[in-house]
This record gives sequence, structure tokens and C-alpha cells, in this order.
Amino acid sequence: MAAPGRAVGLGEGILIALDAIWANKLRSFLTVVGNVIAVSSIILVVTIIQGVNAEVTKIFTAEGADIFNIKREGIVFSHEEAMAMRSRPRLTRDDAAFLRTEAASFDALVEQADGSGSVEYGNESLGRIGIEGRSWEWALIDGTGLRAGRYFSPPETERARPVALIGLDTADNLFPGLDPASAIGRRIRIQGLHFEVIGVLESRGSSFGFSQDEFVVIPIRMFERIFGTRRSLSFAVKPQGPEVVEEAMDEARLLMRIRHRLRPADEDDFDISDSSTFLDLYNQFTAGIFAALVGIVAMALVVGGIVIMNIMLMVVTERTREVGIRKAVGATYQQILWQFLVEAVTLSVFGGIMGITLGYAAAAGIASFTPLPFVLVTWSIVAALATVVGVGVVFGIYPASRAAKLDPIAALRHE
Amino acid sequence: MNDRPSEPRADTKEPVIKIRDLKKIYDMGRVKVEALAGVNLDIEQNEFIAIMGPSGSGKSTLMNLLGCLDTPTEGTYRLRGTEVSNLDDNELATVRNREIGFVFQTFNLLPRATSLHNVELPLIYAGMSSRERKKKALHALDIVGLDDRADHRPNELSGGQRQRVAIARALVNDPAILLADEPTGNLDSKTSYEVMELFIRLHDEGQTVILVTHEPDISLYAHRVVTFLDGLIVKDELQTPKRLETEAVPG
Repeated sequence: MAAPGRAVGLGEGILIALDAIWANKLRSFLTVVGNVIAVSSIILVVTIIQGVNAEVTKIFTAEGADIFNIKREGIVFSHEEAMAMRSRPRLTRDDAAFLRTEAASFDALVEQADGSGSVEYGNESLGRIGIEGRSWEWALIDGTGLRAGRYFSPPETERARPVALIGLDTADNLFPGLDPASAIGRRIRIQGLHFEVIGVLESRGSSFGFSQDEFVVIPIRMFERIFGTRRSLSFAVKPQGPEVVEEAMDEARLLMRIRHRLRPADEDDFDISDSSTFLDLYNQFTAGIFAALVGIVAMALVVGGIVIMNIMLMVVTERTREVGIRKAVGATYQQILWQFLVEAVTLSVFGGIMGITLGYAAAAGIASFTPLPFVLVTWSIVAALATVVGVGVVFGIYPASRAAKLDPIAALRHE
Repeated sequence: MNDRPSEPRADTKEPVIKIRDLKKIYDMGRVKVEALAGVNLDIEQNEFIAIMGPSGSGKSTLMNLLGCLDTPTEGTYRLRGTEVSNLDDNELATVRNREIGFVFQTFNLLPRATSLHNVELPLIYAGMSSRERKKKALHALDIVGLDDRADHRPNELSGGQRQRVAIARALVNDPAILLADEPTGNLDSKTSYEVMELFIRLHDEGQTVILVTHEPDISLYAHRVVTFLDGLIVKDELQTPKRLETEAVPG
């Protein structure tokens, strides 16, 4: 005859819970410390990693998504690997010439080598700044663009002319107070040799707060005169289009194997990678951090959940008489269960919201003191809330069922 | 057998409460305690009945059974024509919600809730919309003369006012019976009279009132007094109820 289990409205349950939380502010806070720690650490780490991700992606894709690199040495994970790579043949200008002639899918190949040294103008002297050697094709793939002047020409590359392009900060530092464009035509000294400034590059931006604009670029042949030819070159290749990147990488690999006379069983003695290679590696690394984080957070949540369960058991004991009253006026098992479950979930979510707030506050604090950007990650909020709701349900169900099972007569007599 | 079945009153209609051979036995391990030893009782619509007896006589056990807070070991209990002695806990909850209005000695109000919310409580569990709930609860508070105290919490009310809020809560779902367990036990004599006056008025307006008490001067207000001893009814008498001298009560 009876129709049991009409649920008390969700809003009603939440109001009861909020009232109880408010009535026991300190206890409620202490109860959810576990949740606060777990959730704030999720939010904090996710926010930081997302910020780092944004920076890292920017760096790896700065030279353009299509560009891939041919290098003597790839990424190494051990000393042994590093030693093995040292015996690899250097990449030379003849290799570059061979690839330019033979490869059908390349649009441009840039020979490059990087070093560092001193740059001077008058009394201004800059020590140990980046010196980049490039072949003229660099003009075709450079994503930065010119603030003033021009790139160097093929003859200037091959004849090792003393011409240089300089970064925006280098211009500022060498010619303080002057418009960067006025640097054009001035003669500076690089490693003690005279160079004519023919171009100033646009800003490459900053990464992790460090300026990327302190460098000079000189023709690769000139670079070899300064630093010698004993160091290996590396090649940046621009394929003929985004759709032939794979094909161009395959072709580069094949040609390099022919060039190095490798037999089919031999491993590559060079490294070909594009930005996605590094991004994949980086993403593996952050996935590892996430996995460790999930483990730590899971432990914090279990501890937090057990505390919530204990407090809810105490709350049920404290409010035994209330349960008796509610049952006397007609609350069913399900209605009492629902009420205390909603209370446990509300408590847990209360902790979760504090954790989210704290986590973001900490992330914003870190962002304001470090060069890391502050990235708001919506999914981490959703995941955190879903998790604390789950914790509330899992650890609230037992106390709630204890309340719901109370005998109304005994409960009404409870002091 | 020293108990007698109560005499049937309105023969044409089934009484509000019809109890036959009701037994409640508590199994205490080695001993079995017979709290009710086979009780027969009919209560008609609009009776004002006092259940008397010393403690341990079985009147509280009967009160719990009448209020559907518990089920009997043996026997039948028909409430408004429905057998309720074999219902499960949730079905009993629904019967309590619809048919029973409890008034307790210790008021049993939710301490942190307002009068209005306390009175609304049975309607919440009945699944009523909040607008309808508020209307009915305010009406019930009006009946007990406390509609101006709707926003007060129990600790802002006097003992008599608290008991009147509890009575409003008991009335709000239009119950078949108003079941009051020592309703004046925690009140001074002046306030007790006020509360009794309220019961008399409710009875005059057609409410069936069952009063469990051990105070003889409270039982004087009832039309019928049933006395328990050792789990059995030993006396079942009609009487002319005492009326309060202080105020004329509309008949």
C-alpha cells in the first residue's frame, strides 16, 4: 500500500548540509583538509604543467611545424649512448651539397652550427652571447622576420663575407638608446673580427622569462673560419609542403644512409627529428608526472574520505534524535539515506572547492613570482569536482545507511 | 481473563482503530517479556481517549504500535480500515506520514529549524511542493495561534509555545489520529492547561485524540479512560470530561 522512497529534494538536502557545515565551521574544515590538499595539489600541478607545456610547445614549434632537423646526435638517455654517438661521422658541407642535389622533396636545406663568443661595438662589449652560423637558405625558413635590413645572400654565404644579423636585444645593448634600424651599416666585432651589420631581427619572444633576442647570425662559412670545421653541422630542412614532411624525412634518411654507405643491417649513424619528436618525448615525461600525481592524490583522497566517513558517523550519532524525529513524521529509509549522503557529498565538495581555490591561488602566486604563465585548465576543475563527489558518495554511504537503519523508537529516546 | 473488549460505539462504520488480540513480546535472551499480553481496543472517530497506567504497564508499547513506530508480535491492527500490523519499515513510514500526528513529552522539534520548517517537515516527506507546504504549515501554525512565530527557532520559544509548534506539526498532514505521549509532562501547570485547552478545541473540531499519560488530572479532560496494567487493559470507562473554567469553549 505504501509508496516508499520519495527523495527529499536535492536542494533541501544541500541546505541541511550547509547549515550543518556552518554550525561546525572548524570541524567541517578539519574534516575536509585531506580533500583540500588532494584537490589543490591536482590543480596546482596541472596548472603548472599546462603552463610549462605552453612554453615548451612554443619553443619546439618556433621554427615552423614543417621543419625537421638532421643532426649527428639525437636525444640521449645514458652516458653509453652519448659515447656511442661521438664516433658518428660529422655532418659536413659536402653532405649538405649531396642532399640538396639528390633530394626531390626538399624545398630548402639550411646548414647550421651554433656557438657563443664576444660581440663588441666601440666601448660596448657583450660576452658569451649566441653566435649562429647559417647558410643563406635560412632566409627562407626563418619564422622571426626582419625589423630592419636584409638577410645575407648566397654569395655572401659561400665567400664567407663578414656580415651579420643581430637580435633585438643585441642591438639595444650594443647601441643603447638608438633605434634598432640605425644599427644597419655599423661595424661590430665578433670574436675580435670586424662585421657589418646588415639586418636586425624581430623579437623571438621570451621563454620561461628569458629573452631570446641576444644573439648574432653570420654566414656559415664565416662561422667555420672562426670556430673551425671540426664540429659537426646540422641541417634544417623545409619540405616542399606540409603533406610531404613524412616523405621528405624518409628521403633524407635514405640519402644519408647512402651517403654514409650503411648496410641494411646497420643502424642510422645520424638523427632525424622534427618538433613532434621532442614534443612526444616531453609529453611522455609529463605523463609520468601525472601518473605519480594521481597516485599521491589518490592516497590523500582515501585518507580524506576516511576522515569524512568518521565525522559522518559522529554526525549520525549526534543527530540520532533528529533522525528519530524525521522517521516519526514519515521519512523513509531512502529519504534518510539520501539526506546524509548529500551531506557527506556536500562536505566533500566543500573541501574540493576550497582545494580548487587554494590550488589556483598557489598557481597564480607562482606565476607572479616566476616566468611561468598562468593557464586556467577547465578540465582539472571538472575532474576535481567529479572526484570529490565520488569520495563523498563512497565514504558517505556507510554512515548514511547507519542513519537510515536507525530504529525510530530508540532514536527518539536517544539523549 | 481480566481484560474486556471495549464496547463498540458506531456499529455501522469501522472504527478508526481496531485492535484484536495484540501482543508484543520482547525477547531479552533468556527471558521473554510480554509487554502487551493480548489487547483488544476499538477507537472511534472523534474520540478523546486517555490511556493511563503506571510505567511498565504496556501503555508506551501500545503507543508505539498505535503510532506505527513498531509492529506487534501477534494480533491485528487496522487503522482506518487498513491492516498495518505486517507492513515493512518503509510502508510504516508512509502510514506515519499520512495518518499519525505525534506529540511528544520532550516536543522533539529540530533545534536549528524555524517553527515553519518544523511544521513543514511531514509535508517534505510527503513530497509536497514548497509553496503548498508553506501554505499548509502556516495554516497549522495559525490553528495553534503561533502564525506570528513562524520564523522563530525552538530556543526562542517558551515550553508551551514549543509544544504548540509540535502540535501544529502533528496536525499539518490531517492525520487520522493525534497521538500525544505525556504532552504536558515537561510543562508547568498553567502552560499544561493551555495545551490541554488546545487539545479540547481540536477534539471539538472533529479530531481524534489519543492521550497517553500517568497524570490523573490530565486524564480528566478525556471522554474515555483506558487503564493498563501488566500488558492488559484493566479498566475502560466513559466519563464526562472536565472543562476548563477559565475560558468558554465553543461546542
